[in-house]
Amino acid sequence: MSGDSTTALSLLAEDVTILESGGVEDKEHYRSGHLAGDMRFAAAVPRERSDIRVTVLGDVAWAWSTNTAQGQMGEREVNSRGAELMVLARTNDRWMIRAIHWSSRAAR
Amino acid sequence: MKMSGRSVLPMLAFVTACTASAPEPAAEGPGAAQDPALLEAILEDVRVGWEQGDGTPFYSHFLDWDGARYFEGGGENIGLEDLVVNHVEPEAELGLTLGFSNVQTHFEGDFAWAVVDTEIRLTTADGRDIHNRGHGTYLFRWIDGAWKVVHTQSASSPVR
Repeated sequence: MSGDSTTALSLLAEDVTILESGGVEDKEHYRSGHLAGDMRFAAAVPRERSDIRVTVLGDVAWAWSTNTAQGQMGEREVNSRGAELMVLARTNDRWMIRAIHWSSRAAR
Repeated sequence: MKMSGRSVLPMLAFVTACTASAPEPAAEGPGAAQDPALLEAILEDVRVGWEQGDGTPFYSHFLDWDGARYFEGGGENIGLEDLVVNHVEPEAELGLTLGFSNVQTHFEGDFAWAVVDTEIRLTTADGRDIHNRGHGTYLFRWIDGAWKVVHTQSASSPVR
């Protein structure tokens, strides 16, 4: 898990903005709190993701996908639909994530 | 495509997808005006459009293109007309008030994005009062001398 978190963090630009539902975090806040929770959730609740749609404009790109999550996290049933958006910028031939926006709602 | 690993695998997948994708043709004409005030003005027009159920600012400031998708929570509108007719117009009838604040803008050549804090109040058809706070991300492209919105994503949660 520590290797996975190192990889995840290495993909984030230093000035990345991470949005989810009503919250906003920078890289340090994500590293010190949210990341571990995300990894626990990912291990517990299977998620199906659509194809990732990408648009590249020179050295910047955005990509989005949708997903469904269904399973159990502790005692909580999870059945949700979500979307994720990432904005990436390329520097020295390396793509880095500059912004993430995750959103979801309970499946109806 | 089944994937687990919310944080790492999707990030890797997004980065890989960018590496593998062919770029769009470069824009012609004068370069983009990287002025935050231009994006802020568009967002204000859009905010008012949401409150008034008026599609005019959406048709003016959004690029109406195949593949346009606009996400809120886990839902989406597909295409600009779907957004206006099935989301913007009906929501205003619920007495929507929408606040935008703390607009943060970023520019990369002919592309820009803005992140905005949001505050939403409305009353649902069954009488529930909604008061949420959250954020919106707006993506822009510089096209024919103007910034155009090409993608939006927003999410919020109840104020406690």
